[in-house]
Amino acid sequence: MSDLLEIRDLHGWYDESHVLHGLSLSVRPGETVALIGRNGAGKTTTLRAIMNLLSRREGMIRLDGADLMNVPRHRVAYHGLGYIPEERGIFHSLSVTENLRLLPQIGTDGMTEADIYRFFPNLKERGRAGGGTLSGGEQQMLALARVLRTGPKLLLLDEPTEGLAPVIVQSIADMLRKLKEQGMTMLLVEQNFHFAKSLADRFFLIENGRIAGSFARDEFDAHASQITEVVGV
Amino acid sequence: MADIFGIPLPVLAGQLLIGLFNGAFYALLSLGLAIIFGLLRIINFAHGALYMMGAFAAFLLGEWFGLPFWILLVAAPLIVAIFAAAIERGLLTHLQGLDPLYGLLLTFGIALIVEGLAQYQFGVAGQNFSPPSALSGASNLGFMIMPHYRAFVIVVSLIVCLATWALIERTKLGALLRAATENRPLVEAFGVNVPLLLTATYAFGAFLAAFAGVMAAPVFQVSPLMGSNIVIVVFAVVVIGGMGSIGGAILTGFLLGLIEGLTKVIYPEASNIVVFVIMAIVLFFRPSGLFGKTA
Ligand SMILES: Nc1ncnc2c1ncn2[C@@H]1O[C@H](COP(=O)(O)OP(=O)(O)OP(=O)(O)O)[C@@H](O)[C@H]1O
Ligand SMILES: [Mg+2]
Repeated sequence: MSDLLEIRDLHGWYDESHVLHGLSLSVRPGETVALIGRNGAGKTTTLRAIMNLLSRREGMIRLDGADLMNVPRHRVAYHGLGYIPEERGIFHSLSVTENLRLLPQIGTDGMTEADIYRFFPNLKERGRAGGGTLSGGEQQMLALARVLRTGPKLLLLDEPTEGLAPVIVQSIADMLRKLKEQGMTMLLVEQNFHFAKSLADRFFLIENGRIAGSFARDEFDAHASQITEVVGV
Repeated sequence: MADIFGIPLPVLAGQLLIGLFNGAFYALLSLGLAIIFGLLRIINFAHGALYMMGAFAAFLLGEWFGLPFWILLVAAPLIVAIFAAAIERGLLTHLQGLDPLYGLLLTFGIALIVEGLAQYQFGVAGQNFSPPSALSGASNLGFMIMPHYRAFVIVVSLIVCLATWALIERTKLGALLRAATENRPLVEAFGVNVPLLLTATYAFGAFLAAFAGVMAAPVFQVSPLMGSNIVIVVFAVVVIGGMGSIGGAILTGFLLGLIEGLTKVIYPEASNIVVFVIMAIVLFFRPSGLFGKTA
């Protein structure tokens, strides 16, 4: 099957600092891929490069056959991308409902608000509250919910469980598993291996802005020593 | 006749009305500055020039085509807004990501050019622009004489300010604007045409300034330097209110107009500097302004 996302020889910069050094990876339709690596390896930068959020990038990024390298930043999402940034990006000057409704529709099969409230009842209760008053878990749910409303083909999730209580991690895992069953494709950055292993079909190890290795879920244990070396757990 | 603090009521009420009238202009102008600064991070030194352009556009359209005041009140600001959109697209957009100082210098340069050209064409003397006949005259309210045109300006300015506030705080478009003010790249990555939003915002701020200029035309003379006279006070108002706040800009504008008017009654010698004294005091105790976020 052809890849939904294909990245080849990607270089990325923050102003003068060269962070991605020829990174290549791919994600097939319906697949969940986890990107793992130690702090500062370039995981977040990879997702930001896909969203055209770096000051400069080179190489190839294709989504569903379309070249993303020359797409202006405000058109990238329309190729089917749903981005959940590491810092969650909840707007504090907007209410919860305003945050939820802010993003333009990019696909035809986005979740309805009723669906969203069934999954995340808290968001309905707290609808009028300011975005900044939500707890970390609620912010993560909102970041996920508002993107699901737009109807993306591929979710880019940057450490969705970072800093969250185990119960909340559990409910986010349930949510993502359900999405996966429905056929959603996901590229997931995750430090929580337990969480990543329970969800991902394939792993890419990233080190100093390059891919240091990749393997399927059932090869995870066989690669334990390489993972330990690269990720340094 | 009733006195308050030894001041005859009609005198006091008259000065308060003039204060509110001036405050109406401060509010419209500082509101535009605050919106532009919030999203574009540009301290728009061309704001006074845009105000002046509004007055001149109304004056010239009136001279050439004999258009009624009510049409000029909308048409002149629209023309200025289109001019501002071109400035944003052609010049300001290239400053993205640079130090805000560049925006300040560029808009200051634009103001000098526009004002210079206006002086070259029209000289420094003011042109007269008559208020609409429906608004001439005054009413005796018993405790004061109220000129109709001044009352009209205060009410219209208040309505426009509140409508702008509602647009920003209560609509989807306003939510986009607020979100982009907080985190422009992210909003853009979500699929919002932020470059267009920036142009529209600058044009809207210019519209408000030009709208104020048209309303000022019948009372103050239409002259090339009318903008640079008022804009100094308006920048002080913005500093006092705090750059980030929409409601703060409106409230501070009217409030400082009132305080200025009051000062004219109590201690006229200080009326020209009272705004700047307040600015100094506010800066000392609250550097981010009365309504600014402390950050
Ligand atoms: N805005 C920035 N400007 C300059 N350098 C940056 C910026 N953001 C990140 N970097 C640098 O780029 C490199 C990769 O950072 P990145 O955030 O992609 O790492 P990461 O793998 O997501 O790490 P973490 O696990 O800590 O989130 C790091 O060396 C970091 O210091
Ligand atoms: Mg990261």
